[in-house]
Amino acid sequence: MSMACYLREGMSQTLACQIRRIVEEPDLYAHLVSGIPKVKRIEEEVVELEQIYSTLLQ
Amino acid sequence: MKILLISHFFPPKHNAGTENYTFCISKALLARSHDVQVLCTEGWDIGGSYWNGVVREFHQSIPVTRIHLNWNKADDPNRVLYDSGEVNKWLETFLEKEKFDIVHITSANTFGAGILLKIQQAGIPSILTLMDFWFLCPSVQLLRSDGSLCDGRTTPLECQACLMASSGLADKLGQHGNLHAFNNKFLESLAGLQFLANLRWFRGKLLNMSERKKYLINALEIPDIILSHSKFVKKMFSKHVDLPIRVLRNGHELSWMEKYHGKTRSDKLRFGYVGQIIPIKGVHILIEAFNNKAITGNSKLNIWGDLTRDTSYVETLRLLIGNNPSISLCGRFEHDDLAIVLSDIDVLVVPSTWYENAPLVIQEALCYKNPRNCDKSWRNGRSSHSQCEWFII
Repeated sequence: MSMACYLREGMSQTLACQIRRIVEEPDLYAHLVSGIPKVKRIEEEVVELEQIYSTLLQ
Repeated sequence: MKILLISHFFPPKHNAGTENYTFCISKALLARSHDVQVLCTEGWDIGGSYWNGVVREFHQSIPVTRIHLNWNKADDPNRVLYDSGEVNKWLETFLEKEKFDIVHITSANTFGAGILLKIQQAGIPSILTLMDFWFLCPSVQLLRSDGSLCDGRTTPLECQACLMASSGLADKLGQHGNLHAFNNKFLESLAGLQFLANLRWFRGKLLNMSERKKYLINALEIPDIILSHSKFVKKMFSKHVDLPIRVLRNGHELSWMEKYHGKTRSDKLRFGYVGQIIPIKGVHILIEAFNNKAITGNSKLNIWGDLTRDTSYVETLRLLIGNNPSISLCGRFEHDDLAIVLSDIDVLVVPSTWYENAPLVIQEALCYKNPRNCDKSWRNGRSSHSQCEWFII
């Protein structure tokens, strides 16, 4: 295993705990899904960039 | 507006986050009738000399100018990793000829930071989007050679020792118990010897870190506006520079969602990883976690990504998976098919060992209402996304 591939102590155990929570807590998945925000579209960002570009050209 | 976008690489050969993001904004700006061009490098470790010519072509209607470079062949390969006289000279003429209104840099990594000064000298306003930690760290990721996280507040010697520790020479000496030999001042004097930079063991490793640090931090003062896609990246850079950094959340090109016809049915909870199969992405950690006997019974894990890029790492993963029937290495897929891949995933896991910035795959998964079990949980909340209520800590 390369140096960058070290398993730091506790990493996989902590992740395993989180995975177990989702598997074992029936309401958690639905709760997580309900909290997902709207994803910003590239068209929205480009309008913001245009405004920034225009500011610099003024 | 006549806009130049600068990215270290660009599709179709390069499709990581920065390249895809640059492609998406150039396409969207073009659609809004701007005169857009992209400048990138190509090759990088291919070609008979450092400068291997300039090719102008179109990629999906976007005019792209590609400078073919091979950094290994530069007179001083360690210097061109942060400042290239040849690139600076060429850019001066290019800017003079093209007369852009705006230059937006998403990555200067392969060009060197000298391009910022050339853009300023040409009298063109510039915007820099901080997509990674290249300005702070020569390995870009603020990840030490032992896998631990760094915040860049290091001495030049610490950086040099970190770089040298990941070289073949360190491996060689390390076998004989001499790795600590790099942890002293003789590295600084070695970095001043240009002929060493051309030797395999020192190429890309023995940088003049005092100079690099000073040069790149000073270069950050040149752009008219600095943008970041996350508060986290802003916070990290604010430890180094007292400059206004504006957070502008990145947008996503979502036309590929047309292929999504709803989540497929499964009697198991399906976890998934989507991305590069390389050590810093922490796929090995995810497999170790999933090997926990309490998990594997009523769930499964599909790992999507190119299995040919780092074959020794993939072999490590195969050994870790062993005979676990709940874990599958699924290989690469075309981005257009992301909708199909995500329709079979209930929970996306991002187990990266480095800080990450704003991984596109997380946002893309959120389009499908896939919650995300993120890697940052074991890092005392040091996350660029910790403000989200669905984020598990």
